[in-house]
Amino acid sequence: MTPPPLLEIEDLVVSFTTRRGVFEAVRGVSLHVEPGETLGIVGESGSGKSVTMQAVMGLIEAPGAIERGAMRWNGEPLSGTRHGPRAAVAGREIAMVFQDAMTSLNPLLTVGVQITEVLRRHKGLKAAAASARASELLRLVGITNPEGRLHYLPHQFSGGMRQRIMIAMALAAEPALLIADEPTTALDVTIQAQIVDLLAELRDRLHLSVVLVTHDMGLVAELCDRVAVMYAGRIVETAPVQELFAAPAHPYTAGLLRSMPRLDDSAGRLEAIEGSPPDPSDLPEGCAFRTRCPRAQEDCIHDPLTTDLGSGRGVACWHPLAPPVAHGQEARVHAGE
Amino acid sequence: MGPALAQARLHSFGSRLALSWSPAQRGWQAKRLTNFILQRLWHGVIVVLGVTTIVFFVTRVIGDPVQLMLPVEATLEQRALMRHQLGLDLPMLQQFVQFVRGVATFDFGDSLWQRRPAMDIVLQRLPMTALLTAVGIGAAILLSIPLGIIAALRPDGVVDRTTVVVSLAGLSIPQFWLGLLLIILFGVKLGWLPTSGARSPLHIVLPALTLALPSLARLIMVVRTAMMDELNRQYVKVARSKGLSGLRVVGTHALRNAAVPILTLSGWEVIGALAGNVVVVETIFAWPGLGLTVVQAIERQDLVLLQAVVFTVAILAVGINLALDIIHKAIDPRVGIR
Ligand SMILES: Nc1ncnc2c1ncn2[C@@H]1O[C@H](COP(=O)(O)OP(=O)(O)OP(=O)(O)O)[C@@H](O)[C@H]1O
Ligand SMILES: [Mg+2]
Repeated sequence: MTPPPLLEIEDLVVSFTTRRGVFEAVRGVSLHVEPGETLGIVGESGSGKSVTMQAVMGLIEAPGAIERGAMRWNGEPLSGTRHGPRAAVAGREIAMVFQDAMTSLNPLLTVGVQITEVLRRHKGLKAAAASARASELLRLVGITNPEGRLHYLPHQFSGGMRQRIMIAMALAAEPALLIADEPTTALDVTIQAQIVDLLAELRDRLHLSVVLVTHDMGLVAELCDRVAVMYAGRIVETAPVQELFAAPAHPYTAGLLRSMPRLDDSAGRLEAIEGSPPDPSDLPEGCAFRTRCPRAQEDCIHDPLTTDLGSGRGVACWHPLAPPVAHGQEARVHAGE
Repeated sequence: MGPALAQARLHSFGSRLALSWSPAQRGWQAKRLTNFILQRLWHGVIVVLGVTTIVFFVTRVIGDPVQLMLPVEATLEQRALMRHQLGLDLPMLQQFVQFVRGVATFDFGDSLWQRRPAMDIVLQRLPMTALLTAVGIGAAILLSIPLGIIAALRPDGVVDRTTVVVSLAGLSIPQFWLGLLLIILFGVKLGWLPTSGARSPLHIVLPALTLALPSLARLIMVVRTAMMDELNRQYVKVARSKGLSGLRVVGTHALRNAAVPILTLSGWEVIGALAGNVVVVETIFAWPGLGLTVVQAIERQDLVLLQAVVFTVAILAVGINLALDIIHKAIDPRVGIR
């Protein structure tokens, strides 16, 4: 028997109660992360990427609730309560780096305190040992003079430095899985590249599994082994990176790839996916993408099942682009628009 | 103590406050902190001078103490003599100069009513008021923090709904009316608690309760709002993602950030009690403190005593404010010097 995946999510449903009623932000997501693997999660804004990751970390709070689904860590169930797993795994085995480094640190506690509290909690280190380890961690993420900097407050650091500190903090408990939710979006382009390099380097050095949530297909190509594409609270396609880029099966994935700037595209033409992401409280019946889909047909009004395409690929579509995509088929997609 | 020494002492105090900074920054930060404290002190001096000046002129406009101190049938000569003895026949400016000289040495002269140094009376009454305020407002502060936090943790929960309703009720009842209600209930109907004077520890319960309830209502609302704001911030989410205990997330991360508005209002509640609410409460419950003294001084047109009381309260208010500023700066070093 193969060993269980590091993290496994099965049929996760997360809902939010708003003034206008209850809506599901995540509508039955299943995914898994293998040891040592880097999984990319892509999808438009509002597709439920962050909510899914927050559910794993046990951060879903009223007005949100986990309605259904199982989460397993090394085969053991994660979820204890309606609001997510207890802190035993989250924070110790799984750590998360958030999008906005500027607001992610407590403005009134020194970065030293914010790192050592993790070491005290999960590593049982006492004051001096914790401080020593904290400055080691700061050095690891490329902060010079770490001993002195432990006494600084967050506002004394730049955005890029704060994201480095966030990464140091996430690594403090020596987690097996690092969830990075758009870790670079809030940063300058040059700083983005540095943070990406740092993440890649640390991942290789510490043998981390990583879930990378991003809008940046380039980043996915660079860092990830496998990709899950999310649309309107569902995973519409999963595939190994090479195969996904070579031959997307879901029309939405194809659209995403076409909307990505390419160096080899002499025309420099970008095609955005037509229309805008649907309102999660008012989704079309059946396949949520069908109102924007060039391949939509009548049967798309029924919920698509996820079909296994073999070699770890899956797609939830009635009319997938048959891989590998030949030129003729690509032309058909264009013609359909 | 020479000014240089005073500055040096303040400086070392500043250094101790600045302990959370790195050694390299500490000297610089301590100097900034020293300047900060000196600047606030200077503001305080100006406030105290301003308040006492206003009191001096206002008390001289509102009435004539001689009329009250002498029997109605006193002759004009007797009145003139009295006026002369009290120095009230001097030109206003000269009276003011004398007054300021007195203020500088904490000597306001003898109370017109009791014929002994006004400051002695104030210092004798002050501990009772301090006790009442400490017990009343102290209880309000200590209760408001857990209640406000629980309300903020479960918005629309039982505690939240109850505290909001009770707070609104508490805020809309005038304090004298509240005092009378408590007297009727606990003093007259149930007969559990004494309602007048300060002869036993039990005597403080009703006046402290009357003083505390409106403050408690205001404080709970502020703690609740401040905590709700903080609990929704990103850094709280991050702290929870680190697997920290709920106590650590709420008590260290969120509460520390909410502490500034809570502290500010707490300070204002103490000042508000000293500068006004104790007058009502001490009068209702015949609590022998400064508030009662003020009422008696006004009834007897005892300008000197009134000035001494107002001056003392102004000093206390300024002192509390200064302490608040320093604590505020210790909690949040980002607070500007200007
Ligand atoms: N606390 C909340 N209360 C109400 N609705 C929420 C809450 N958090 C998320 N949502 C809703 O859930 C849906 C999914 O949000 P999510 O943050 O997961 O999107 P995302 O895929 O991460 O998007 P982005 O790329 O912009 O980060 C959105 O419609 C969002 O409005
Ligand atoms: Mg997101």
